[in-house]
Amino acid sequence: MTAKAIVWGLVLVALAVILQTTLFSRLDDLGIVADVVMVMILVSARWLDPEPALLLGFTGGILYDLNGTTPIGLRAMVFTIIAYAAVRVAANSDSHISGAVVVIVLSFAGVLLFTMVGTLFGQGSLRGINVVQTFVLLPVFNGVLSLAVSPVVKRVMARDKVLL
Amino acid sequence: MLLTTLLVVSFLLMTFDVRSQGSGSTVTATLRTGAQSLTAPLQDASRAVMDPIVDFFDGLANLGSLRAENVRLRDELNQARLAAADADALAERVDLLERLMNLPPGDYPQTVAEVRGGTGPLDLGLTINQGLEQGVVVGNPVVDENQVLIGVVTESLPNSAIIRLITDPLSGISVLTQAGEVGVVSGLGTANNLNLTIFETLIDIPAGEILRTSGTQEGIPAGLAVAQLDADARTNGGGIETDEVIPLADGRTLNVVIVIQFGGAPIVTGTDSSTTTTVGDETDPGATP
Repeated sequence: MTAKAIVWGLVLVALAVILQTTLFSRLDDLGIVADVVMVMILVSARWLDPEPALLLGFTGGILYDLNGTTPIGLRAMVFTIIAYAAVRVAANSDSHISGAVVVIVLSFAGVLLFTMVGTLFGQGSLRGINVVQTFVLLPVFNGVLSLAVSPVVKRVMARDKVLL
Repeated sequence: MLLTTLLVVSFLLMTFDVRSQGSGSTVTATLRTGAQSLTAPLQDASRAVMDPIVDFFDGLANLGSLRAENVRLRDELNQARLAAADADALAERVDLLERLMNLPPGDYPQTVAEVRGGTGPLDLGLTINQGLEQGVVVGNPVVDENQVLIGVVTESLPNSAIIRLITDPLSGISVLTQAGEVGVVSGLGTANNLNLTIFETLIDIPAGEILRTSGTQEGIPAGLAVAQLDADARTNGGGIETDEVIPLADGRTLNVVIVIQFGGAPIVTGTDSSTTTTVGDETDPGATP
């Protein structure tokens, strides 16, 4: 892994924040609920060493928090933890399909963690929550989205890994 | 070690942000301003490119329902014509209620803002391109072009602001029924439904009734349309609790919104139509109904 891969990871996550707050906020109206930032962190983390992956998750979360209504640090905490988990299971997910399954599972864990920690910090996320949309549709859409995103991320980040 | 450090930093940031809310802390506001000034141009560019594409697919997705929608709208138009006949009586009733609540007549300064984007699938909010420098402050109500309430400003930065939509589970809006009962409309986390709670009432509310802001909530004027009953709401145990309430506007589909600066003095147009001045006392009329 090179510094270039880390920079690419940060660029991709920043791009994901922009897309999430513009394009994907409109797609909610069409019933498509996905967290593209979460997907980008989970997919990118596979191609990074543990420490850069954690920093990527933290940075992406902070950037997302700063553009949202949630307390600064909430998504940073969640994304740091799921980035760590993604690195730990990366060795067992060598195909895009298995990678998508990992994204679905970790997205579910991330959303669960988000609602629990958010509730502890007075965000009331568990009150009146749409269970199907939040805990089923979002992880599934994330998994599907990861199938589209993975080849791009692999092309960009794995190239630097090979060059090393 | 790094994992633990980042988690502790996240925890501390969250604690600091939550505890500093409402205390006027500039640290988190500065952080948000810095981040949003970086992302705002990119968000504007992204919307300029993506919105036409999304609108195209949105139109395609809704093509089948447009015919039925047309029939429904014709029916609604007929009903609206009938309702217009009662408009004078309703206006008198509104006038009476405003006087009862000591609300001064006149409109309030309004700021038109463009929507920069949403805040994510797990928190229902919007980012707009107007902020403190344009007079937008925390607590200001935000409406669409039909003066339908869509949310409230929760964070105001120099040139941008964050709106919490009424559909957010953390949102609670004090509303008034046509029978004069005060209730609370709160979000359920979805764009299609709201919850209505009236703690003490013996009066059922018929389907179709429009719920408007009561004026008893600080910073929000009376009379803004909020939601409509989708089914009869019947009293149960001396109160009403129903989630068959539909928001009258979907804030997430809007490109432009209007912020009402209700905390300021009302704009009163004098007898000379060429002069529009800001007058009145500086107290918040909504705070002391």
